[in-house]
Amino acid sequence: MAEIPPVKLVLVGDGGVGKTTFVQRHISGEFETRYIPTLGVSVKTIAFYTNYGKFIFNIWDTAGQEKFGGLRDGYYIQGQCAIIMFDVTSRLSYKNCPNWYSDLTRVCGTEIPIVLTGNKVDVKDRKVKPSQINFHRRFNLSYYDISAKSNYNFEKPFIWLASKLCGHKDLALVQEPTLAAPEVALDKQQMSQYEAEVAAASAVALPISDETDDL
Amino acid sequence: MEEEFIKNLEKYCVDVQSINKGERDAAEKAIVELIKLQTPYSMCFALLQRSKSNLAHFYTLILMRDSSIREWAALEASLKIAIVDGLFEYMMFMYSLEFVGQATKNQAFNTLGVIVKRAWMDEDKYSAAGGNTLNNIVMERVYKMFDSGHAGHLEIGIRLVQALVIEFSGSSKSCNIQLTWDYHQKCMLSFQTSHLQPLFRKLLSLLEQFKQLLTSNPALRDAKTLSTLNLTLNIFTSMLDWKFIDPNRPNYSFIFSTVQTPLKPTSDWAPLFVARPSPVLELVFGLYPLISHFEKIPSLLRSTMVQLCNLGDTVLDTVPTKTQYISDLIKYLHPLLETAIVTKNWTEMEDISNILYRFTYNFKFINIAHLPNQQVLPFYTNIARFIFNSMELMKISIDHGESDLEDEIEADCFDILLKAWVSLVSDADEKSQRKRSILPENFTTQFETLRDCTGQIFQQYIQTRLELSKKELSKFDTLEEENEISEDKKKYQEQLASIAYIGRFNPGPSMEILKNEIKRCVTSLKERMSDPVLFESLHWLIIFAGNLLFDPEEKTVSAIPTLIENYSFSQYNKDNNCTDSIVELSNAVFSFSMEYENPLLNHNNGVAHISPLVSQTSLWFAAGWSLVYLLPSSGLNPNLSPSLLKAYHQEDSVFGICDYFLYKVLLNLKTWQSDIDVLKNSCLLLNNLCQNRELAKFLIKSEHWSKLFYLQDGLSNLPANIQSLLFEAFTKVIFSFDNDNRQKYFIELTKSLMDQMDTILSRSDFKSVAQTPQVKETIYLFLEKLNGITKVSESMNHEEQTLYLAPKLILKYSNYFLGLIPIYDHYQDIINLILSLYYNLTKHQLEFLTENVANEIFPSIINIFREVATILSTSKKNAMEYKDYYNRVKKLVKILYNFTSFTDSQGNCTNLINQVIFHGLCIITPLLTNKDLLQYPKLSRQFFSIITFIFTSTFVEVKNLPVEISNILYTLIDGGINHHDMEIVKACFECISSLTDNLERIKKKQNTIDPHYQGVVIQFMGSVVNFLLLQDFNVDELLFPASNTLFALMLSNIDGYRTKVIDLITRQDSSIQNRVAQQFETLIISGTDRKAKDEFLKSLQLFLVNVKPLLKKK
Repeated sequence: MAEIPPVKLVLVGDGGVGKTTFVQRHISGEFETRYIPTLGVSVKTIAFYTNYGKFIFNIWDTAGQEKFGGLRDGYYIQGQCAIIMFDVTSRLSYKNCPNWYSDLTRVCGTEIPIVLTGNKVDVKDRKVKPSQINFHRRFNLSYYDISAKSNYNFEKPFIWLASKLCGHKDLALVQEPTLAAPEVALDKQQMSQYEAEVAAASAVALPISDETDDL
Repeated sequence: MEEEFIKNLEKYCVDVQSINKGERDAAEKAIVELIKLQTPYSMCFALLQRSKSNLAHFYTLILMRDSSIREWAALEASLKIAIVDGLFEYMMFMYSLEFVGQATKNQAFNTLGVIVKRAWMDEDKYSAAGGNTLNNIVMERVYKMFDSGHAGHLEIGIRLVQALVIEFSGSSKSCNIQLTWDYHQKCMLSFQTSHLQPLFRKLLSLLEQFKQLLTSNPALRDAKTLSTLNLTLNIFTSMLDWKFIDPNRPNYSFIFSTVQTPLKPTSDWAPLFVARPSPVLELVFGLYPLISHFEKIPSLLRSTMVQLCNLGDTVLDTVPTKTQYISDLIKYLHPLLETAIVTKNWTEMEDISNILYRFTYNFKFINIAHLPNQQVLPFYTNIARFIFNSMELMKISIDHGESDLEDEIEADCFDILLKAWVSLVSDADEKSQRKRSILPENFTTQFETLRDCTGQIFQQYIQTRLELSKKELSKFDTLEEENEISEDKKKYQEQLASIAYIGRFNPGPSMEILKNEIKRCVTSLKERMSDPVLFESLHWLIIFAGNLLFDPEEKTVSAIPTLIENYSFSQYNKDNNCTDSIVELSNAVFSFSMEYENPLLNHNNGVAHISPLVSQTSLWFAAGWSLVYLLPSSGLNPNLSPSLLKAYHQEDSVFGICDYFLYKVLLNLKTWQSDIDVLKNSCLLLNNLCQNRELAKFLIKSEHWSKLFYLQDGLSNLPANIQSLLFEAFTKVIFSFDNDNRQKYFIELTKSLMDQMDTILSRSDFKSVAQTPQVKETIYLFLEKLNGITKVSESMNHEEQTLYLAPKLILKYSNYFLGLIPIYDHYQDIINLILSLYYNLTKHQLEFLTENVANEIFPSIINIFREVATILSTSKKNAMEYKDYYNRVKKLVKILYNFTSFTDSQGNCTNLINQVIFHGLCIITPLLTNKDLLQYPKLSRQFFSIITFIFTSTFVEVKNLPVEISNILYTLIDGGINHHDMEIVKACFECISSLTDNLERIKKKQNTIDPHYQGVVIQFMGSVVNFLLLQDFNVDELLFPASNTLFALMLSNIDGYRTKVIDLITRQDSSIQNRVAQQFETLIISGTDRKAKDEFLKSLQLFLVNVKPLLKKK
């Protein structure tokens, strides 16, 4: 099975919706989750083992709060897929999703696969009901309810993105996902190799059937 | 310098893509430094001319955008036009550069779009451009591109319009412009008035050309053409999403609205929608069949259709216009519906569900009723068929093992369709109930068809849900019972609410269906014991019956649903001897317990043949039912039928039902000890019965009551949390009695409890036996029961004088609790229960507290605080889990928070309450700050709201706080105004305003200036000025409180303000000092009233726009 080059995934959404917790899969039990806003961007690598090989997502977890935004849309460039996250207990965070979509697609194009996710479904007081979530329909995005706290549907957005990226609808996990170690310092040689892989990945035409009828 | 700039940026923009943190951070830092460069535009344009790096172009465009926004107010007009001209030139030129990618091209449009918006209100006129303003210059160029007939220019024009629509409609987060919504709204209104419609018409005509092209050449697959079609359609759809502002009554409401707002174009748009034929409808519905085989475009068009179904009254302003428009829409929608029924394409079906929902929600039954029957009746029938189809599709998905797809169809199609149908039904029902209203001629016929279809939908739904549950059951072999009742109710909450409404529209047949199905299941169950399919069916049927007969969300005594109540009334009027349908359905539900469950529970091992899930569901039904039907309130139910009164209101019937329910609770508690959920649901039923004060006399008459009350038949062995729930229920009944009986029964309830506790606590060897399991268990049980008692508010349950029974009981043991805290420091459960007790006390028992009682109780609370704090602060590092530490502090914060949020309606002890909060705050502040607990947002918010309370209290002098505490608080407030949580920032502003008020109060009262407040206020003045001028903050949320605070500060101490301003100015570059100083002169206060405050806010907005770009940030 051919090695699949790492994929740049851009994770966006309002501040406090749980992007970092989702990426870190931070399980805090009954303990209230600490909120330390992401400054600029933080990159995490997660590997998924599927029946079509190993998928490595380099997740660019971007700051949701404007005041900590850093380069903001400057991080999106070369993104090959994306997750837009909102918090189902905050209507405003859902209302802002079209704005995140608009910024993302301006930089990454409309042809990249994007998943919309509603986080914190474990919270009793849900404000955005499933039937109110329809923004994704217009742009053929996929949608998943998730709970970063309880890991509910954690892998679903990634499986969908991977299946879209490789063009195999029957893609499935063959092994539970594991979190890679935090970013490690790579030596120069490794870095060059990595860059070459990233460049190769971005040059590969995405296997989406309707690529031609979109921009 | 230019060369160096190009070289650096080319390097950094590659490095910033690295996943290596060090490399990326260094590059990012360098790029941020470049972004901060003053007037970098010539270097940027040089890069765009010379560099061959796509990434460098991309980041340069971002840099230009952000720099322009930051510096705009300080730029010379000639430079502004040069930037815009340069960007236009680049856009023309970039298509010839092969290395420039689409993202960079899009960035060029975005950069120009953002800059144009920033320049939109500029008044500078450019003589070289015929004396035009910048915005007019840009827009003239855009129109020229559209009219050029040149494909390349047309594409640039379209993309520029896209960028402008995104910026002006506020749907971009890319650039933090840092301007107020007032500015955004002005731009939006100006763009809407002058350009939106002309641009919309240009797109409309472009799409018409596409339509003609596709009509003449249906096999067209040219990628470029389709790409432009998609782009054009995208902007067209965005324009239909435009939140139109009424030029005569502009308001901000839409900005914060989170619901889908109707499409409300101004009246000059009317011809586009309502002319015959309507240009927009013709285009959208005419184009749809031509592109339906493409992959992405159809969903865009269907999304446009949703908006067209959402057209508002600004355009459809007369009944004939609206009727005509609805008629046209139905004409177009009907074939869509018919095709979808046949093709069963679920993606299309989901979109059509949304279209139908918008249509029915927007136009309602009454407006549709103006149309002829031959048009409307088949439309309704087809919507019903469409709903049946979606149910069919759900079953097919399950058959194919696609449970995710089934979930999606259920949520995104079926539930939406039910909501669409409920919109029709609720409007039809409401209008038919109105007296003296003139209904359209066809109302009755259409109403009857709607009723028939509604009946079919309800029946079909019941069957489908039962079939689906059966299919799922067979897939999973075993019944997954754990928490399934709450799972089902939560997951299907919206669906069940819709179906209940639909069922109530035909109350008789709906109740009949459910009654027959439930009876069939119970009868079959008696023959086929333990049959999982029957259990599953019963579970669902009882949930349907509950939702039909009452609102499960209600937690207090509530009314019978009107349609059900009216049906029961009319049923009696038709035939005095017939059995009431409500009674029949209720009996059917109760028959499960009476005929199947109870006999088994009374036999050894019988419990093995009962599904705990169905037992829980039937208890849930009884609990909800008892709040509505048992002794129904005539005040809440004006149309109670005599049949219902006889069944559920006559004394002997009420006693019989109460007696049975108590028997049932007792039986369950004795026999279901293995299943905590059934026990909890049994307690829920008991608590609901006890909640109704009128039922108390019936309950205590029952022989089962005393068995429960005295925990006979082994009930004293029940888990502690269940006994807590029982004591809560008993207390509810006791607190509904008059004073004498209340006291008597309360003593009765607590006597054995206290005896047991007293015996243990009075043991001379208590300290040595305290850690034995038996003693710990006794104390634990005692605390659980006491918590149950304390959850019931005495003052809420009777009209007489409060006896403070629960507070006095706690008071009796308060010293013991103090002693228990160090003994059980390592046993978190007991500490938690002690703190919960005080939480419940402050939450439920403080209403109508007299000063005397407060004087007794409050010191005991402070003592508890002190004891807990002593233990927490002296515990060795790591000796106590951080989580336990957090939990204890959280409880303390919550107790204090209860004090701040409680209404002392009698005003008996306001001062005392303030003193408790004052002392409590002194105790908890070090606990929070010493362990970084302010990182937890929920805890932090409550803590800051307590600080705000103290600062705004007129009873507490903040300066009297111990110096070490007040200094911490001032530091927290100072840091808090830069916190990332806006609630905290707002709270801090409120604190500063309150401090200023205190200073003013003392100044007026004593004619002196308090040096303490004076010093603190001046210190905060600098913080507020820094916040406004040097920080990026959420202008929409925080400008208003910050402005009010600065207003108060300036009023209080104008000299102090000037000192701070001078300090700020002298730190700036000498070249701008004069300019900044002049701007500060514009910030003046004209008075002290609200009008002056509003004027100050406006001048502050303008001041920030002009000054902020000039200042040097830290």
